[in-house]
Amino acid sequence: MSFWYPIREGFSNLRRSRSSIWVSVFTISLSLWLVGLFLIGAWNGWQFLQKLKDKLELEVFLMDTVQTQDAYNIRKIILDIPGIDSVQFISKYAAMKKFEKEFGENIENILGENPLPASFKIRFKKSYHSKENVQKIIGQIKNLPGIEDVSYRYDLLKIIEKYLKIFFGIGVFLGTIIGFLSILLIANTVRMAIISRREEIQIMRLIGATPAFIQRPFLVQGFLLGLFGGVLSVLFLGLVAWIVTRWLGINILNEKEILAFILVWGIVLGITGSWRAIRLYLKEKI
Amino acid sequence: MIRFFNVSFYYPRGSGVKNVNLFLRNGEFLFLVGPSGAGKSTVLKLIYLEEFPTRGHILLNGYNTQEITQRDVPHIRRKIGMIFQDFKLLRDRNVFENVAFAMEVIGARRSKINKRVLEVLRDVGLSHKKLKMPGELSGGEQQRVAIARAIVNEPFVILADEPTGNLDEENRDEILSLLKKINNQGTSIIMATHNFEMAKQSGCRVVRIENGVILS
Repeated sequence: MSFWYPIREGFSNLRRSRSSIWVSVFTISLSLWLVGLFLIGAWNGWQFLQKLKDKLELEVFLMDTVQTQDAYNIRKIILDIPGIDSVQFISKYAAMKKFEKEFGENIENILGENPLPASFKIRFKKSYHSKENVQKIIGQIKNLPGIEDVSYRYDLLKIIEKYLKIFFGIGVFLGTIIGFLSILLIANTVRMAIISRREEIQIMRLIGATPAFIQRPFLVQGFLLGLFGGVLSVLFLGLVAWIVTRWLGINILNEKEILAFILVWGIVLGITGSWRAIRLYLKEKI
Repeated sequence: MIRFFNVSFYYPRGSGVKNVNLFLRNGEFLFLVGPSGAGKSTVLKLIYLEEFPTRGHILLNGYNTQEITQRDVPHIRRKIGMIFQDFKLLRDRNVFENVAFAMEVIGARRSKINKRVLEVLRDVGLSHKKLKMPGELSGGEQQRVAIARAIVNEPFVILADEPTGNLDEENRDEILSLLKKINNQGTSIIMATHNFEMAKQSGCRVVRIENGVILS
């Protein structure tokens, strides 16, 4: 079977119904563009969350009775707990100096003593960021002698994570609906092509063309519709990223995989749409 | 070789053919004559597998309709040439492309297509019009393009459904003598027509059909 035949005919299907082709390519690209925006939004949000998690520290406050030497021993014990990346010791004096730097007041002068406890600032290894791991580590540290209190800003993390999940959910929901509509649109465009070539299809059947041979140009047509829609939406997304970079100075499109995904998704929608039209309108007797 | 064994076929609306027994030898030219609605086209449709017998079976060049699957249909049709009253040419392709199309469909090589199409266009006398569009041709010429398309894949039989129905007398005779020439080269032909006189004058075997029943 000629390799070029279905490709040539697929292009010819596009040529024959110019106006409806551009309407569908444009609509597909618009819908893919929306999906792409959500993906980019979700991806950047996710990245932001990861960075935030990296920055989040566990603060462990020591009882005032703990001597410096004891503190170093405790630090050693903490460092041996799996998942701990670094432990920084902040003495009572250092805490006071930090307070003075941040608030402009020497707390010892005001209160006559230094109420700030010595503490450890603990960072976790990247793979130990999950809630379960962090809670386990906190439990272990709390049980150590000389520990007064442990502070970890988990609530903030949870809120961000929750909103990100909602945002991602909306994206998936919209993507599904839009994808479904795109399939219907492509199916309709291919259906028009099938109808306009009805006579030709009948002749092809009579002279012994296999169903696959008859179907292939329409599949190619769907593929091309999806591809063009995908390419156009990738260009739109690139434009948005460029504008954002120019105005806000943030690069929101670090991951080029998103663009590849949009392109592939467009092609999948195109082929699915034309397959649907073929199943519905080419079912007559062979 | 085509052989009908007590073949009956009914359309949902009622008409069809009843108990048809028919035998076409290799290389034979057979006329199937009857008024419109008699069942001529149905007999042809049963041969090119557009329809399958409700009862009985047909032997088609070694295939039995009781054993043929939908998968086999395109491959069997490639060895059956078909000609229709309305020519069924592709309006947006020229003469050469219309004939070549039948070879493209079966996946022939481009070089083979070019050679073979030129040969058959010469045989039907249309070499000089190979780049014309169907709309630029007379009815007789369009039917000759259809004949070229029917023979290009070297079928064992040609089914002609009222091929001269749309033509004047001169063109009709031309088409008939062209079909006879093809028949002389060894291809069997079944020609359905309502024109009993033309069939009788041809000197070929004539089978009459009326109300779905073979009379003689």
